[in-house]
Amino acid sequence: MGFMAGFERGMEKVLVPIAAKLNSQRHVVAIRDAFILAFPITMAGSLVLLLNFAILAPDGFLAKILFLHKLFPNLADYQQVFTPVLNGSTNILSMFIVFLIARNIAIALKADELLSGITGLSTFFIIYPQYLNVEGANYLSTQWVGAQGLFVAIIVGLLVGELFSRLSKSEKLQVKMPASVPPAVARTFKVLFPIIIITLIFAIGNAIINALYEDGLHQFIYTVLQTPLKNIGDSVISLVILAVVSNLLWIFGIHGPNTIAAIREGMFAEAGIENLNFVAANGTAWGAPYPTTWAINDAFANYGGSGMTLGLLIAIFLVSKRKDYRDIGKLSIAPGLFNINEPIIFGLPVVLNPILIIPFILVPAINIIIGWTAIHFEWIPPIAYSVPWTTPGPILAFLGTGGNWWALILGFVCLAVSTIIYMPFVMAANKAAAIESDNITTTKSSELNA
Amino acid sequence: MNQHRVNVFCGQIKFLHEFIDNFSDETVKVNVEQLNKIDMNVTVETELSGEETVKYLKDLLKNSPMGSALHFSVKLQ
Repeated sequence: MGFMAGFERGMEKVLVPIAAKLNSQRHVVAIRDAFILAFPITMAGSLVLLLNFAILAPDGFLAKILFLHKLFPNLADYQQVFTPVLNGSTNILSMFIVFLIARNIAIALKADELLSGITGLSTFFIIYPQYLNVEGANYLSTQWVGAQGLFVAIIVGLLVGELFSRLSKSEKLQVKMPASVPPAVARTFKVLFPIIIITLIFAIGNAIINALYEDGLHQFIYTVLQTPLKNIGDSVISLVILAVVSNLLWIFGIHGPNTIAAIREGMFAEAGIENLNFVAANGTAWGAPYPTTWAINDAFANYGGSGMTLGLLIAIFLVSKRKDYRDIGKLSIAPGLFNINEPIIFGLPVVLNPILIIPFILVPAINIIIGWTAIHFEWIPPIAYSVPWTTPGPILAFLGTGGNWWALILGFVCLAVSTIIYMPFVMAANKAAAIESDNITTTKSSELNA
Repeated sequence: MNQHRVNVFCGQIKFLHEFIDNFSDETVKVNVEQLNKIDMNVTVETELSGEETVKYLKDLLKNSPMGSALHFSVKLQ
C-alpha cells in the first residue's frame, strides 16, 4: 500500500468519524449555526461602515476617486448618519448569540425553540452587571452585550437551551390548560415552571459568584476563558495551523471550514469586532487593536476558494497542455472569481489528488505568512473591515483594509506566488495523467491482442 | 413517476454510497449505477422534478450519519 493510499485509509477510519461527531455534536452545531445566522447582521453593519468611510470620509478612496470631497465640502458631516448602524449589529452581538444558541439547542432537542431563545436572552440579563445609578437614572453598561460578552452568551445559551429543553419535557412541570384556551396561551403556560426554575437557578448562581468574585461573572469568564483563547488566536502560528487543518480536511473530502468553525469563531470573533469598532471610532484601519485575525486568510490566502485555487486555474492556463485540464479550467474560472471552487475540486479532480495536495496546503500557509508579515511591519493596515468571502481575490484585501492600494498590490503578489507554486505541480499532474492514460491504452491493446 | 440520473461527488464517497445505495422513502427510490473513486452515478425514481430531486438528495445526504462532516456535490446528469 502506497503512502497516499495509507493516508487516505487513515483519514477514512479516524478523521471522518471524528469530523462527523464534531459536525453533528449539538453544542458545537448550535454555536456554529448561531454565528452563521448572526453573520448577515454583522456583515451588513461592516459594509455600511465601509461605505461610510469610503464615500463620506474626505480621504475615503471612493470619495477621492469621484472627487466627492471637492464637490461636497461638508461631506464628513453625513458620516454620523450611518455610524449608529454598529449599535444595532456587532455592538449587541452577544444578545443575538445567546438567543440563537438557546434556540438551536431547543431545535436539536425538539423543544419550544422561540421560548427557549427568549429564556436565554432573559437569563443573560439576569446575570448581567447591575444597573449604574447616575443622578436618579439607571444605566446599563454596554460593555458585555457586544464582543466582550460573547463567551458568557455562549455558555448561557448552551446551559439555558439544555435546561429549558429537558425541563419543558417533564410532564410534572407542565401547566395544562383546557382545550378552550387559545394555543398561544397554552404554549406559554406549558413552559412557565421550567422558565421559573431556570430564572431561580441563574439568579442564585449569579449571587454566589458575585459573592466569591466581586468583579462579577462576566469579568470572571472574560478573564479565565475568553482572553486566553483570544490570545491563542492572536498569532500567525495559530492562523497557519487552522488553515492547514482546514485545507487538509477539505482535500480529503471533509468540510474543513465547517469542522473548525466553532473553534475559529471562539478565537477570532471578539478580535474582529474590536477591529470593526476601532475603525468606526477612528475612521482608519491603521492601528486596529488585533492585526492577526482570520480575516488575513480570506484577504490573502483564499482566492478562488480553499487552497487558493485561483492560482491553480491561472497555472493551468499558463502551463497545462492537457485539453481536459484547460476545459475544466474554463468552466471553473467564473465561480472561481467569487471563491467557489467546486467545479475544479471535483472536476480536475483536486480532491484525493496525491500531487495537488502539496500546493493546496502549502499555498494558503505561505500567503497567510506574506499577508501577516506585511501587516506586522505596517506596510499595510490590518484587515479590519469584514468583507463577504465571495468578494473576488485581491479586492477583498483592498476593501478589508478600507481601500489601501498597497493591500491590493499585495493581493496580486499573493496570487502570483500561488500561481508560481502551483505551476510545477500542474506540470507533474499532466505527466502523471499522461502516464496513466498510456497505461490504460497499453492494457486495452494487450487485451485486444490476447 | 420521473426517473433522474444524478452524479454525486465526494472525497469520501464510500460513506455516502453506504447510506444511499438502495435507499427508499415516500419521496425517492435511489439506486447506485456506478461507484468510482470520488463519485457515483445514481438513478432516482421520484415524483419530484430534476432540481427538486437534487435538493432533496443534498438534504438527505447532509443528514446521513457522516454527511454533516463531508464536502460533497450533487448534480443532475
